[in-house]
Amino acid sequence: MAIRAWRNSKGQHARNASGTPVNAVAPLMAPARMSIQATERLLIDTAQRIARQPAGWIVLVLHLSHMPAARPHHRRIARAILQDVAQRQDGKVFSVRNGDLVLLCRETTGLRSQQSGLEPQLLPATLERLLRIDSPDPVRLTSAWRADADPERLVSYATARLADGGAAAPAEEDPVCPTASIDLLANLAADPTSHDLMQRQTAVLLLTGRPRPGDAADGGALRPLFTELGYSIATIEARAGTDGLATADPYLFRHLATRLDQHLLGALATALGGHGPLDALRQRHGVPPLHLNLTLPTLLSDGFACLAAATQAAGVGLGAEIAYSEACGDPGGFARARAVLAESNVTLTLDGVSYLSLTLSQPWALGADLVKFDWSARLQGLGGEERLHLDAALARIGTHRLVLHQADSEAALRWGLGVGIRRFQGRHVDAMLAASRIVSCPKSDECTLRQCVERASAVALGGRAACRNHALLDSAAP
Amino acid sequence: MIAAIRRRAEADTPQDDALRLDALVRESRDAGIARRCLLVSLSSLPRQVLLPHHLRLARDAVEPLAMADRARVFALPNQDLIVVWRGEAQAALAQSLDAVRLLFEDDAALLPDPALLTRVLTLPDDADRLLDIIDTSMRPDPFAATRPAAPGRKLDLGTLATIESALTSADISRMVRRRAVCSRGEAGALRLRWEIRLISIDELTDTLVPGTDITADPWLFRRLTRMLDRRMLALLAAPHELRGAGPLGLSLNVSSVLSPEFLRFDAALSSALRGQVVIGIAAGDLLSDPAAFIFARDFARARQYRLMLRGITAELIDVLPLRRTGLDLVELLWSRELALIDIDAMPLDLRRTVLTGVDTPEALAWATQHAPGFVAGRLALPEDRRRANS
Repeated sequence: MAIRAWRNSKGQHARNASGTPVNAVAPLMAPARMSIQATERLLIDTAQRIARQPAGWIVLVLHLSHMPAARPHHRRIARAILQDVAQRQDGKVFSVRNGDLVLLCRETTGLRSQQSGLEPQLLPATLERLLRIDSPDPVRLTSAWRADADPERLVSYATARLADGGAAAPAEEDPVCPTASIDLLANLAADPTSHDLMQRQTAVLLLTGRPRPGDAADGGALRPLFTELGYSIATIEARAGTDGLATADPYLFRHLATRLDQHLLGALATALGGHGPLDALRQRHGVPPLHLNLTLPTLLSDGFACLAAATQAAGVGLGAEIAYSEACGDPGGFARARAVLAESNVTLTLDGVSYLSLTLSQPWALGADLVKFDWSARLQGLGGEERLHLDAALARIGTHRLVLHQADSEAALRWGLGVGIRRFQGRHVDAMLAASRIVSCPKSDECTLRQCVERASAVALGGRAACRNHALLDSAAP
Repeated sequence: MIAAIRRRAEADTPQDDALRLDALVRESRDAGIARRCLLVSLSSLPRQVLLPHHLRLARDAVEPLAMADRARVFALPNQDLIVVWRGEAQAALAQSLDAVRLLFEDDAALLPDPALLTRVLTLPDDADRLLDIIDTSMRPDPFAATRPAAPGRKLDLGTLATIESALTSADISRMVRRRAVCSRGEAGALRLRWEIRLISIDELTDTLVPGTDITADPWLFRRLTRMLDRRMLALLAAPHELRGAGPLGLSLNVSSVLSPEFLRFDAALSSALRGQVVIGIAAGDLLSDPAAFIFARDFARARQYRLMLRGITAELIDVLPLRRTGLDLVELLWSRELALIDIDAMPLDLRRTVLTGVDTPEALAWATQHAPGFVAGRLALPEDRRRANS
């Protein structure tokens, strides 16, 4: 039943002289340490008691289990809001193991409503508003009903949760990243033979409206724009056995990025000197420019100045990418870096501009040469005003400056082409380039598309060794 | 004479001295009055040399010149001493220069550039240079949480872990500082609107890891601020901590607004203070996790907090207009670049702007001309405090 059903009956149940509802069920006891599924069992008991005397009870279920990208803070804040109402309305919050939160509380009286300022009947709208960004369908996240309108509904819900089994409840605590782990990860990259921890990815300019399998990478529909080179965090983590720790703390991750930058500059300096696996960087005509995603301190360091001079001497084009959040966090540093890059004739790309960041800010005012706009499935569902605002923002940046980043699917490409974007980077682009190579390669009989993609992304010789046509493999990469 | 200098130094603040000197230099420049100045640049000295007894001895060293005809001594906020005089005082000048040189003779190896320790300037020719020196001397903010980076060991992961561990039990209450944010009343006087509570990074460093530059790595420092946020919130949530408190401001990371400590602080907030708390969120933090920021913003707003976008410079005004961020206020950091742009043409609602860093006459003049809704800084104290200081 919709929330409107119990809004209309506010304050209808009888009360005794002390103000306690005459049909009050025994106070809801807070469960202490409970065994597996004890919460679900307690919820069933409570639901059954309420079902016997349902008048005046309100039930609200927040289906966080329907929210695939629920984060610990969603759960923590939602629980606090529900607890607040429960405290004011003689109620209780149950955290069930599938991640849902269940609020059982007394209906609001006129007096209480004035005192609390946060009435249960307003909760669904409040929660929907809060969770709308992270939930594809926030309206369906909450179910609220008056217990007397459907006494058995809560019992059914609780029984279903008990039947779900005993999987661990989602965490309310943010993941913790021990500082020692970051040292471990950074030190792995310090090994001068660690090129197998690097990867590369080529961005392209799509010259025709519709990409076709087999489009040639050189002179056909796909023209390589640049090749981004950097450490693969996933590979480093796999090597260290610290799954997900590198990115668990955004600040430690940026610290790690700064340290990895130093190793990257060192590796490139060696490569440009003519030793190592990056030989393709040297004196090759027709290779797309090299792009490096670097932190501001690195860009302002002597090491980068040396690299910029060396790439210029070697005839290699160079581009630098700066995280949008870092540019805004250190505007002075960004302005200095932009001036340094302009002076060195190095292309500046703003990285990490998302749909949400476009709703909050105007990255075009930073004056970058290119802007990497992150693709997400959310973009397909935008309508009305949201779409108009996005279109206006993309127009302000200029489609000739936009690179649709994380273009991992055909849907991403189609969306990008639909808004006039012609520059793409992502796994789908990798696959298109690999398909082009396989079609034109006389030695590709035994190669799969996936193998060709993986070999093209590898920097170390070991990762590319199985390819029998390195010239073609590197044709869209340094 | 020295006693007189000391008596005045005790009665006046260095800011007062700087403002007087600023006026004197402008007068010389505008009226073409010839004066000479000796600058003793004590702020250029390493910290191990810049000890209280060195400062006293430096004042003694300029005594011969301070006794010259029509001489005045000014002690600037960054510890620099300036003696201004008119007429002939060559012998006294030589005597003072010798005395200063002898004073630091034993520490010559520690001086970055002994030649720069003393400089003689001439007015009105060097007026602009001297105004720059005065302006620079006033830049370090005594209310700010940090002082200029001192040479020392840089913060690394191991030291960070040590500090975080120590912070779990350290008494941070004595490290808390307050910084006034004012607005101009109808009669033109500044009145206090709220006080920002912040932890003194200098004191934290001196207490836990002396000799370490804990701001050297910006990302490790940001991680540390997250822990400091939570310690501050825990402190404010303690019983009676906010009894009788007026409107207050906190600078928090987005993740701190969503932390259990914030929820406890929120629960402890009295009904009188609800709606009276301003939460500042840094521009970079806003964009590093926009989804979390939007969630935190909407949650904080539902709880009646006012939200301020922090750290906006001339460069960022156009990047982060307030209407896009959905926040209530914007903190605009004073810099000379502001004076170079047409602020009226920028997407900035000055009524909702808090101009911080009003520490110099130049910044104050800009604030007077453009009248932002709120101001903060050494020269923007509430009327009653300003009177008390003078």
